[in-house]
Amino acid sequence: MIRLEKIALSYGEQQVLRDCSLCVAAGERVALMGPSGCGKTSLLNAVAGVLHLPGVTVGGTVSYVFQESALFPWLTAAENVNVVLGDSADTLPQAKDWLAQAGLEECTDKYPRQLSGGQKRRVAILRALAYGGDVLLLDEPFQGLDEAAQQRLAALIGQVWAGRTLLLATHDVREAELLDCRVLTYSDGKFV
Amino acid sequence: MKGGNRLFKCIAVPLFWVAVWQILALLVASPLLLPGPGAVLLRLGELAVTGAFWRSAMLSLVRILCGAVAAVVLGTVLAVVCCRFPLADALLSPLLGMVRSTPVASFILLLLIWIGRDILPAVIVILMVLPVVWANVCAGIRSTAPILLRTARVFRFSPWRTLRRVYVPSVMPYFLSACRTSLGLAWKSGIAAEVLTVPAVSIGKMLYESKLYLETTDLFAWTAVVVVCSLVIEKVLMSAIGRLGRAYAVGGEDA
Repeated sequence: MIRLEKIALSYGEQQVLRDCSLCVAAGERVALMGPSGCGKTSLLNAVAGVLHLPGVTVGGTVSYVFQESALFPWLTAAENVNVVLGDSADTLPQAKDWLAQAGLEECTDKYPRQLSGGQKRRVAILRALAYGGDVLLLDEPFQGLDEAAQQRLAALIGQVWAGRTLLLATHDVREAELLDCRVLTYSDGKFV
Repeated sequence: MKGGNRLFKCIAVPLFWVAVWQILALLVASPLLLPGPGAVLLRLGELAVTGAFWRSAMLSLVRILCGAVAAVVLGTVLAVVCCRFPLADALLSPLLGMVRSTPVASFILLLLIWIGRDILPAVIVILMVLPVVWANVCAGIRSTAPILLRTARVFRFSPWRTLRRVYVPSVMPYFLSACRTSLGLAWKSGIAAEVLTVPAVSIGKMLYESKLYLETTDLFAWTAVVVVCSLVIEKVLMSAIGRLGRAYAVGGEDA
């Protein structure tokens, strides 16, 4: 469950969120739709606990796919997934299994600089799914992915995250449709 | 072609400069002013069979390496403390900045009044190397990508895992660069301190006495010892640093 109560957010002089309240029930999937700079990423950061905003309540553990892929450049793709699984040799096969689920078998031993933008994105999503938890935050998760990859990942997310809470930030309605989300649109400092 | 180039660099270039040295020695025609390479090599051979030679070389080596290791450890610890506690940074930054810009001779003469001459070269090495390591490690810690720290926080990394998986790989290139710079600095400042303080058994004392008694051939021979020691240590440590660098390189790139 996620509850946001009367959130206010400004970027310098410009106030982007005013009295913004919303509730995402346990197991619900919600998409925050809006243009760039309307505060979607900041809201996700606040829910993840990496940005302090008064009025944010989250029930359970959070997993997050950042807007940037945020992979550790000195770890291979498999190690980047393994690092959230326990970071031991015993859990490495499990990390490789996760990569195989998205067709990234050939990328397991490659470093992020050797991966394409789309491959990095997929590794970041798989890392978040592998970590587990109660709430999955996705910030424009399918950016840079082709249609087939988007559908494959959406199906995987749907299957792995079934029955758990999901909050998506996007400006692309197609992402919200693929993930079967209730859409809240940005309007006048709020998501309605 | 590559092999030929290497052979040229390793043999032909040094031989050229030895030949230049020999010609100059012949032109000067005074061993007191400029001994030839043959005479220096002969003297080096004579020195190498004495126990005093090895004792002096080994003790100087130990002094300088102990100072360098202490400086690297202390510099790293202080960098962590400064990056963690702003007050410590505010207090230590000007102090270490001042140490960095103070001439080594001033420290040597001052410390000569305060501490024993046997440990003084090691202390001088610490004073010269510590600010370099401290500044580099601080820069490394501060350049750690915030997004990676946020990732570690979201996925609830333990402090140990954050250190191992985020901070250490981020800081490693800066740390290794500091080690490379420090190596030459340690060796030069350590020997300079020995020459000015003349510890009982040391390369510095031998250099000083050679100059005192106008034994120019000895002066050249001991200088050659310093150069050879420096090259050997550099080779050994650089190989170790290179291995460490490759292990922590971004995406398997060379360090």
